[in-house]
Amino acid sequence: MKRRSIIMAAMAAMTVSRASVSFGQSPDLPHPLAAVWDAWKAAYMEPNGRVVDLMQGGASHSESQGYGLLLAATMQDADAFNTIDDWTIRHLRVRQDNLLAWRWLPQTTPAVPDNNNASDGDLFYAWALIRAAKAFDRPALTERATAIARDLSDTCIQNHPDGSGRLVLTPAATGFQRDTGLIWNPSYLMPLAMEDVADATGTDRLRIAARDGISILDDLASLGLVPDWVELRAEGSAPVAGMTDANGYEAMRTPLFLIWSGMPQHLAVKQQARAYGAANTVAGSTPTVMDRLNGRVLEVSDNPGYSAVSGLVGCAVRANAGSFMPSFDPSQPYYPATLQFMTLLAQIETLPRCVPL
Amino acid sequence: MRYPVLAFILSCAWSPTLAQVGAENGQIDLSLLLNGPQIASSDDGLPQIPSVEVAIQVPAALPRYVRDDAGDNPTLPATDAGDTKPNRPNFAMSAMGSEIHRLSGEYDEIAVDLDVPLGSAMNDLIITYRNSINIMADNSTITVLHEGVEIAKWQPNAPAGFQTVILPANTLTLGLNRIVIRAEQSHRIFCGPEASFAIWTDINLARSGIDVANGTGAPNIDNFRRAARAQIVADGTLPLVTAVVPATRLMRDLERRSAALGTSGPARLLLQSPYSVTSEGVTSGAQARIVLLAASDFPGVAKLPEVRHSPQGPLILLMSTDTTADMLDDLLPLPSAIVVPPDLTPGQVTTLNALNVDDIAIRSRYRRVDVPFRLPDDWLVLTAQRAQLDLQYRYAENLPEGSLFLIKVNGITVRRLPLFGEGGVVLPELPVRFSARLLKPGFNNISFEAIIPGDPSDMTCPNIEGPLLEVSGNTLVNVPASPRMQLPRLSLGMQRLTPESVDLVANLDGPPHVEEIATMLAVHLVALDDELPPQDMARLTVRSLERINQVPLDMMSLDRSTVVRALTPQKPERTDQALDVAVTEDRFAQPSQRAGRNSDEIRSGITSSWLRVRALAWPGDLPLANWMVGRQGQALLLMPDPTHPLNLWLIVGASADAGSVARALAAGRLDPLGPDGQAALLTEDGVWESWRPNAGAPSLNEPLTLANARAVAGNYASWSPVWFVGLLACFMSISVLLGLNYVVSTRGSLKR
Repeated sequence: MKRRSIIMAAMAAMTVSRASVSFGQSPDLPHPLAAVWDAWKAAYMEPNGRVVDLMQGGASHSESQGYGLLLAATMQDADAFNTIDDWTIRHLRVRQDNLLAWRWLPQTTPAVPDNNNASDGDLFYAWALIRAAKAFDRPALTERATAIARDLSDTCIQNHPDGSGRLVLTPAATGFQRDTGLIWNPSYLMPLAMEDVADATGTDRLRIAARDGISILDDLASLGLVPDWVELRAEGSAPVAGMTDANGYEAMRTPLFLIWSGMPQHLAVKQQARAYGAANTVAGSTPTVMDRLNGRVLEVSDNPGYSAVSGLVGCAVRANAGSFMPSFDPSQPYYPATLQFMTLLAQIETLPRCVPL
Repeated sequence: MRYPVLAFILSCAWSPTLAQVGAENGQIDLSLLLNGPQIASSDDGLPQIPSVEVAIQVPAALPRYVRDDAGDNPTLPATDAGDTKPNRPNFAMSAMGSEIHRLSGEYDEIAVDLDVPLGSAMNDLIITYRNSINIMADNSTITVLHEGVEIAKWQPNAPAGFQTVILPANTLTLGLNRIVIRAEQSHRIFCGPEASFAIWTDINLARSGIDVANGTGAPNIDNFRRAARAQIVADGTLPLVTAVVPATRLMRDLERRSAALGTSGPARLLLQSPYSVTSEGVTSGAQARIVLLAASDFPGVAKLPEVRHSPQGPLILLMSTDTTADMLDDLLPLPSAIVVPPDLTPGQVTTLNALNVDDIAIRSRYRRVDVPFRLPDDWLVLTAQRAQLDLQYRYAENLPEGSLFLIKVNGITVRRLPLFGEGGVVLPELPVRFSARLLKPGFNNISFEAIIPGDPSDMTCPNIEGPLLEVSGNTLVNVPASPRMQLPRLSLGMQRLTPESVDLVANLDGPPHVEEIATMLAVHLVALDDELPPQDMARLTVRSLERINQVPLDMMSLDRSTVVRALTPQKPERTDQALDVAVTEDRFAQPSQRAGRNSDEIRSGITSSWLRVRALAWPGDLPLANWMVGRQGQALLLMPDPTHPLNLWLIVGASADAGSVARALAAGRLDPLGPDGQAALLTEDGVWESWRPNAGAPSLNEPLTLANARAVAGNYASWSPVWFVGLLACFMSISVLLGLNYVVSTRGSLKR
């Protein structure tokens, strides 16, 4: 890359980093993640707007579409936004309500074998529509987001079984309920998204569920790391048999979302940072699955996306500048790559001092 | 639910515990509730609660994803087994160098000062080598010595590619260790100079050195330097991660400092955004990088640079835009001045020992040993004066007929001596006289070259104990003194170039490679003289062909088209067939055309004759425009005004390679065959072709006295015989006329 181009890009990045960057920066300057976005699109998004997760057999799901749509809206890429949205509507919007079926399988009939939704996919989808409505000046997108938010509120928000009155965002419209409690995925809680959607659509239950979810995270973090899955019961919480209660690939999003939501000092973030710091792994590998109670490392990965999450979490709890986040690598699988992208976004939008070193 | 009772009991057991979320420190002691092992607390105070298995039917409808990337083996326990990527340079090694060094011929060696950083835990001494397939392993050895003591010896056996030999490092010490790797090699079939060229061992210096125990990547100065050095060795770059536009001065300063890390050349600073994308899975900066943060954005970042250790492995030098150059001196000191060849004082007899050359021992069938030295810049001998070597040498017995010993001065053979007939004895001192005008002001070389054929050439070389040729360090060198005179020469300005000398193209609209060349020059031109005051420094202005109008070509009677033609790659030459066609077509030209061509031939004949006469009268090259006809190169170095020899210009062609131009210019300062005269063309092969006109007369830098008059006159006469003869003729004529006038005037008075 010629030195002059690098300097121009660096100047753009400098200009962006000067402000406490939030979504909606000046369209005249390239976003500092412009190169990352181009690489992400080329690696994970097909021309028809389908975001492909090769590790799921090449499937697409509401999560990947929701993440992709959010990234497109944040990067103000109208073409990509429209393409992703179009594919998603045609292939995942098959339910009676405004929520999305959670998964589409290629070369399978039917391509959508399960009509259940995934609430995090719908949440991110609605959030993307909100951001896009602002970025592209398309009020109609807010109306669509409102419809999704209301259906989320109606079908995916339940009372905590402990009688506290706290609202819980369930993983899906069905399948979460047990006789003894309800199954919860803490990483589906994205407070910033829920607050933004609630503000834009007037869906107050989402806002309440966000705040109550943080409170539940307080409970879990007081015991150790946040688990991937947990059963919320009248008497508290318990592991779910047959589902991992380790701090793994799901739960690693929790500290990221808390940081992105402006809560870098939440106990869950601190616990995660402590566990990462105590892990004795080889250079270049990051713990991806840890015992939630004693932090013992059960699995590692050398995908830079996970290292990025670890880097941002580590920086969030420190006071000094700079974080150890590696360069974006489009050769890694979709999930760590997308996590890395969101980590970089969270850093730019909420923790500028944690600029990657 | 399969175990409802158990579930109920356990839920009761859990309930008071798990409901106590208000515990101040999060510690929950279950030892009273569970009849299990004592619950221990971790150092963080987190309780280690055994997981409870409750058989709850998993709902099939909940979204589930396969996230791990381990395939059928989901568990990859964390280990600290060390670097598992053998193909990547491991910065946990104090390497011997950065390039591949070739040991060639029957006997050759390399000496390296290996630095073992303080605080390191040494594992092994590693030598990575390969050898030519022509080597007869049974009769060859590689020996490694530490401080003169042999620590390992083995037969070379790596004709197929690089192999690594692991040696114990227990004799090495922290700090500098002198390591010598010596190769004694025999050709398996032939003997002689050609066979000598065909036997070699390559030492990969980047993969040879001390293997330091992993985990010594503590963020300190020494480790950062090692890591940076390894990074530069890996791909020649040192990433500079920044979201601000770095000042050009800072970039140059950092590049110059990187040159002092001990690599074969400075690093290319690779500007990177903090939000960069790796390319094809390759990340630059895997060992070390520099991060620059804007002080205005990160006021908490200290001015003083600090080193941090990334969990991904690299060591990071963190600095802010408020960091000043002197704050980097501890971390990345500037390179010290180049060690130049020793001075030789004309008029005084000097030994080779005094020129830092010990006894020379040649053990190969072909070997050349150079003895560089430096004469004063204002030493000038153009006459037939002689310099002299009083050679003390000996050679082995029974060397075959045809063995030769060549003595060369700046590449010109001045004496050929046989190396057969009187071998095995110390020969009487032999005076070797040669023309002093083969020497030049500045850097010179005297070379001793041995060519010893095989005996016979189609059989392996016989074993000969000891050197084949020895030249004593007591050999004397006597270069005649000269009056302090100077001819305008590029080499004078070249030696005064410093990193501050280069005039960078002021704007960024020029071709990027010119800026790159200027930057590379500023980095490569490490000063030859630490003490050079600013007013004595030379100035080098770099321009591209697009900016050639800014170059004062008219001062050298040079036109733009000639320069453009010389610095632009030309089309292939016409083939013979095309030439035949041209000749055939020519045959059918009209008479008027033929007449025109005949007159052209006559004109060119007159011109060439005049040029020959001119060359006799004023020895020197043709005018520059004529001299450049038919020449091709990648850069042209000019000294437009001989009265200002420190003002140099460099015109670079479109195809010029920044690195090779910069290196050629830097190396040319010390090379007797480097740029000289008033213009020099750098060919595509990296060779300098110098234009030496006879334009400017030598300048005399001392008063003319009776003592130096003869030498001064001799130089002027040699500079231009016709001019000098003409001057003498004038003096003679004036003398004759005066004499005649006197005779005539006095003769008349005598008659009266």
